[in-house]
Amino acid sequence: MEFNEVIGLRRSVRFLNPWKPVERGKIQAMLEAANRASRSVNADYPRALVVKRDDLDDQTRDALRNPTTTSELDLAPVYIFWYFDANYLEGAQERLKELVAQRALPAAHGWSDAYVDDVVYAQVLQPIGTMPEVVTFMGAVEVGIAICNAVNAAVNEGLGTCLHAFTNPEVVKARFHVPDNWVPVWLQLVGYCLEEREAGGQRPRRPLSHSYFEGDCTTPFEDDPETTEHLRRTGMIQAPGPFPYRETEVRMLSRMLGLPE
Amino acid sequence: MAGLEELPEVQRWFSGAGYASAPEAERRRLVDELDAFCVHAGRQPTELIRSCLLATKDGNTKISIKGRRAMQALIDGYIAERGLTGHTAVAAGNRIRGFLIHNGVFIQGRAAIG
Repeated sequence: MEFNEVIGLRRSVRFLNPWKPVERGKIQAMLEAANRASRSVNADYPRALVVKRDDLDDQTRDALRNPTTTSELDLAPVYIFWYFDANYLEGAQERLKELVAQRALPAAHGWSDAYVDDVVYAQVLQPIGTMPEVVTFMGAVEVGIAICNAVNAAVNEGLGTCLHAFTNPEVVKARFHVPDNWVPVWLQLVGYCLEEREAGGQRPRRPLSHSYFEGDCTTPFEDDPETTEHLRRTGMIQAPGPFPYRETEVRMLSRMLGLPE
Repeated sequence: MAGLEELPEVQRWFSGAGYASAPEAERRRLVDELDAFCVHAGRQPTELIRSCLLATKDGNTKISIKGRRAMQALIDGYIAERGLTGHTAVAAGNRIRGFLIHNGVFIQGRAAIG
């Protein structure tokens, strides 16, 4: 699938096909995409635990239920528990020096082993490690970038996915030997779409000019119509929801699964 | 309970779920099911909704976590009492939840996948 189409086709899919298993290779592709995500100081922020729904006992699955995520847990064949490792700064000094050796951080931009040792590590990263709020902020932002890659990789693999609140992480921790330093972020449910992949059409978004600015923050970033048309043709901008038959689609799915209408 | 279908809460449910245009027999079945649940719970439909909500200081309402949890147990108990199983049981419980959902109570039930 082309990149623009992946971006355009992504939805938070809540009607996943409960009986169709997900190939392990597709999960691997998602994790590899997360592993290749942009990340500051080349630190290994993300941690992910992949679990098959049918390998969970009822007690554990019930503990994950919350008012916004209940039936979805019955439908999704694969759960990915996303965390960040609060110890992500450990080893950052050496990993940065790997980038210096690779010339990914070249002298052209001021980088050297000495700069990493004497300035970046000693004066920036070490102090950050003593500030829990900064550690949490960075961890959450960076693992969010990794999760975003995993979400888009799922779409590219023909899967549906949705991020959910991570309820009762202590149950998951006890059941799956999650280390103390892993901080829960999101529960990602994965499966094939039971609904159309378009899931009723693209979700509403305000125009770019609402949230994006150019030059200064009093000047909205205005669309170039030609570019907008290109993005439409290549699938990033798709038909908006709701499709005329969306209500019927949801009703039929709900009846099949015994869900509220 | 006579006149249940005329209650604004039931009308809201029917309108939101698209039942307003359903055949009369289907609407009757839905009302009878809600009525049976009300008898089981010993509450009127309005009281069912109210038991899941709390009034806030600024005059709005919010979900009562305890109330919603109790409601889930009440629905489960009702389904068990009727001896329902499988898809029928899940769907019946979720129809009651549908009444609550369309009246502003965010509540979910399981899906029938067995």
